[in-house]
Amino acid sequence: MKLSIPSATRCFSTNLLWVSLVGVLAGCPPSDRGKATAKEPAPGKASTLVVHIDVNPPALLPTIHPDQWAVRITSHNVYEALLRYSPNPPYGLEGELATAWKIEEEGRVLTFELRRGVRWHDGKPFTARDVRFTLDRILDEKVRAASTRATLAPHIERYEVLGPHRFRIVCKKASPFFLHALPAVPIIPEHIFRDSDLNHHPRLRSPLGTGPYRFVRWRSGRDITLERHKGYWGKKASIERLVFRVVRSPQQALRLAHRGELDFLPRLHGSQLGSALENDVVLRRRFRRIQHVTPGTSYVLLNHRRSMFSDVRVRRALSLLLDVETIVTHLMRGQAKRISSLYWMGDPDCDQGLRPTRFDPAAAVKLLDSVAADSDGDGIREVGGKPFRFTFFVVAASRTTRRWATIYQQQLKKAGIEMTIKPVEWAAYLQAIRRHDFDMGTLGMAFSAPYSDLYLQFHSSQADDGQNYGAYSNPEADRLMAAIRREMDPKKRRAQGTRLQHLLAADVAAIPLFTLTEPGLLSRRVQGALSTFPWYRLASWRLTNVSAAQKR
Amino acid sequence: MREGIGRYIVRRLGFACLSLLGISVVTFALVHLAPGDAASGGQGSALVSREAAEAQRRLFFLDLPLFFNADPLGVLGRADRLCGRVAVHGIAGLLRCGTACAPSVAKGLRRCRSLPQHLQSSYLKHLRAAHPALPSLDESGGKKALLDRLDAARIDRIAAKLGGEDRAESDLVGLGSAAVPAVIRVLLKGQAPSADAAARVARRLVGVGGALAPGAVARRAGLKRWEEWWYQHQRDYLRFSAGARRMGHLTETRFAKWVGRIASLDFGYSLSDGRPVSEKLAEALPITLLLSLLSLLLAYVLAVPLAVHGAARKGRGDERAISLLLFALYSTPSFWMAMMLVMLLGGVGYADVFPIHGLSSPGAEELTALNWLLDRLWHLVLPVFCLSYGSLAVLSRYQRGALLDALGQDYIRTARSKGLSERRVIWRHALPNALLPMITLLGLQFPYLIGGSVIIERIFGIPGMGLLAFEAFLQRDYPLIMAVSVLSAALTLFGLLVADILYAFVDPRICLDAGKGPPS
Repeated sequence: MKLSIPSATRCFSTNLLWVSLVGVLAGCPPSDRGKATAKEPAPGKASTLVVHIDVNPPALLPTIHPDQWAVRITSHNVYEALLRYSPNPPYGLEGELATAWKIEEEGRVLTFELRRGVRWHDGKPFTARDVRFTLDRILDEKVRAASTRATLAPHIERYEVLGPHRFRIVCKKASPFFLHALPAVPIIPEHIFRDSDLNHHPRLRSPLGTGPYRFVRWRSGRDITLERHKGYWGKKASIERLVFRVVRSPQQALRLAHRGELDFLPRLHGSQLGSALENDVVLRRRFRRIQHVTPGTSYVLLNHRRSMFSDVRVRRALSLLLDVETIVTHLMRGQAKRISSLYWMGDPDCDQGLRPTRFDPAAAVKLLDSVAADSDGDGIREVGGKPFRFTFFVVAASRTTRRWATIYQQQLKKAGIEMTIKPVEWAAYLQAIRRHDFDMGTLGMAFSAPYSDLYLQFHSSQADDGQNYGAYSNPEADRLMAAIRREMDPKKRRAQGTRLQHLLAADVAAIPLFTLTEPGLLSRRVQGALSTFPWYRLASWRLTNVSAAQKR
Repeated sequence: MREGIGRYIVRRLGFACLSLLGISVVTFALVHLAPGDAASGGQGSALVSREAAEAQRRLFFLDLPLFFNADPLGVLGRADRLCGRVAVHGIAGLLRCGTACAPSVAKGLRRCRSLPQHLQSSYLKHLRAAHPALPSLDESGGKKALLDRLDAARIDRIAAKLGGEDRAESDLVGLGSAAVPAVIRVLLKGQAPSADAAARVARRLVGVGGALAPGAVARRAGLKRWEEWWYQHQRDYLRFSAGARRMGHLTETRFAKWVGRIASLDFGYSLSDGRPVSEKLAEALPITLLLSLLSLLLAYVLAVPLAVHGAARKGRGDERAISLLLFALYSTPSFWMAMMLVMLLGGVGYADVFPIHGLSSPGAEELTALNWLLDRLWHLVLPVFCLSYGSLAVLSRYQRGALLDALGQDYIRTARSKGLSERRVIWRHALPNALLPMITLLGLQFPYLIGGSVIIERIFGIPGMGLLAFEAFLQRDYPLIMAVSVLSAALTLFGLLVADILYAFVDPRICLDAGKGPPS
């Protein structure tokens, strides 16, 4: 799991300016005339899908550079894993480079039958040795694969090649989550990467895998081109070429979409998208909206070691005073979905019946009166004999958080609590929460599998040296989280998960905020836009021919 | 006067070098004192283990002090220090220093009276256990044999045989870290059989790095990687002599390591994607140079006639209209102009005249050379216009001012009274004497030539220097930031120098040699 700032920090401040300028231009005549001027894509380009990406990725091997675009461009397109997720929730596992897998000794021993007749893009055969090589490299401390290593290393005891197409992994203990880590592990070719240092290998920039698409070229800062691989072992991709075009400014991306130079804009800003669609007939005619829910949750982190937060009624009051609904609808504007549980909303075990805490200052005041009355009448409540004051850390780059923090601050003030907002750099923030030297802040969890394992973030054993920065501790929750990690029976696990979610909500372990979504535009030429975990599966998309699109 | 110029240039270059050093010291300090660093920053960083973060910091010398190292330690220094505290910390730390300092450690342990006497043999026993190829201690004289085996001159002799004798490889691997300096020396010489053998040995000794791949290019790249590795890690293997240690106050610092690299025109590796900085610069620089040279040329070519027109027809209606237009252009921000042009001429709602993104159309590589060139030029129209109109306005105003000044001089009245045509008066007599401000401005334009423009490059999707620098700043990519700023600083200084020299050619009254007075 990764931690992130729970808001879009990637946009540059200049965006604000562009947004306001579009507002000015909205008064100009509507761009109906664009119909005549905008070019339809040339027929020869019919089988190319041009995808907008907003940054130039550092490299194209996600194990070494865990960059979001590197993952989206290469995994299951160029590189393949042993397993992958089936489309649509609840995202079951299906074989990719493995055809079958046997689970023995109560889940400790996993034996994989590997697909036969698979060849790397250079024609060399794929065998179990490549799988071993991949795991060797990931577990090697000198290889810069810290994030993948962190998900695999605690599980794996040993692994062995049983035959050219048979591989076995022995785990230290049975875990229901281990198999779900495998789709995020791209298998790399031993014969290519063997001889040189993986951290600096030239193939990091020109990947070679077994997938349905072959790498063609990368013009740094401009575009990355993949081409359908003719010798693919499975169903061949329908779209011949995928071009990932780097366009840094989202406004410019929308203009290029209008001109027909982009087919798929997966990640746009909600507000920009709304006004662009409203003002632009051509865009509306050529594109439809599409939305991707990112696998993660954002929440308000409380330091449970602070005495003022020790009473559950205080924590409950703090969550009643936070108007999440307004934040989501007015500040995030289509960029987020409200959540009630700390589990990821796409997780099949996420309890949909859990109601979100409603914004209710009156109830909060009533609760606060019983634990933290304003005994000296200065307008600020006292808790444990001290005035109820605390600091809220906001990561300086996150403008949205700063905005809603101000609203929250006012609500708290009305209820007699004084909150100071302190903007800090991400590095400084991380240092502070690691040392438990904070009162309140925000944090995001990103899940690498569609199963939420909260152990690292909320188990009391992770408080001192781990990622349980809020130092939350509850023996019953501890027991449940430990049990969920071992429970192989999905039904029992779901029951335990439901109990855990209710317990964490009742205990206000943290205040759940939202899950970020990525609104985007997709050309109407694309059919069967299949999405899966963690992103869309481009290899199964189809394009209708251009003339059909023109009739529309 | 020619003599004078030679001396002048040398003197100025000296000053330029000093200023460059000063600029780089200041930039370096500022960049590194900003909160957060690349190893601890970044959003995925919560995951990275402390050791991995430490290793990452070492790679970029972030563990060294900025400018002054009060306590420079090579591996020997570290070992010496540990010797004194061995009773407290055990000998594990000493073992981690490897075999490189074993002889000196053994001596140190024996000499130190305050330590129990058996420590030396215990240390050697552990050392032998970690390196089974060393002579056994059980035989008589084993201790001496072991320490002799680690003698530097002896190791050098074995390393010289690499690639010739097969035994040399296994011998060196058995010696542990003591063999690393000698092996690397052979490796970096790069001669065919011995360097390949050395790379194999070094890889087994230090656990990283690669073999030298066949093919000249791959081989050079492999050698470069090893050179880089050695530059980063030599203090773990080399034993500093007393003199080297004294120098170490200055050389074992982040700044010195960085300058050491720059001296060989090597800007190191980018933090964000691990590619050589020079490679990234080589991608971005030609694009920016193309854009800025074109726009500079356009600005100068148009500015001079405009200024002449303005000066000759001062106060007339058409001159006022042009002045007004130039002022309007001057005060129009280029990003606004760029967006307006894109909006109006870029096929988004209005006319579809120009492409709005990139430098070539998609699929341009299939075009014929002529069509490709036309396509490229077509793509350049909008960005070049946006980059040039601002300087055009400035240049023509300056030039007009200077021309007007010149036209008021006595020699112009003389020329006119000689009966020369107005055209000849202006172009032949006034203009050459009014070119000084243009030259000054030319000198100041140099840094912009390679600096690029963040906003224009971002709007038109051109991956040039401006965007490169901007993204480097956002990502705290120190090596890249430093490379870009030093390059700009160097070009600014160079530009000023060129401008000063041009003065002398344009205006004979200016004499660069301070020793002599102006020729009368």
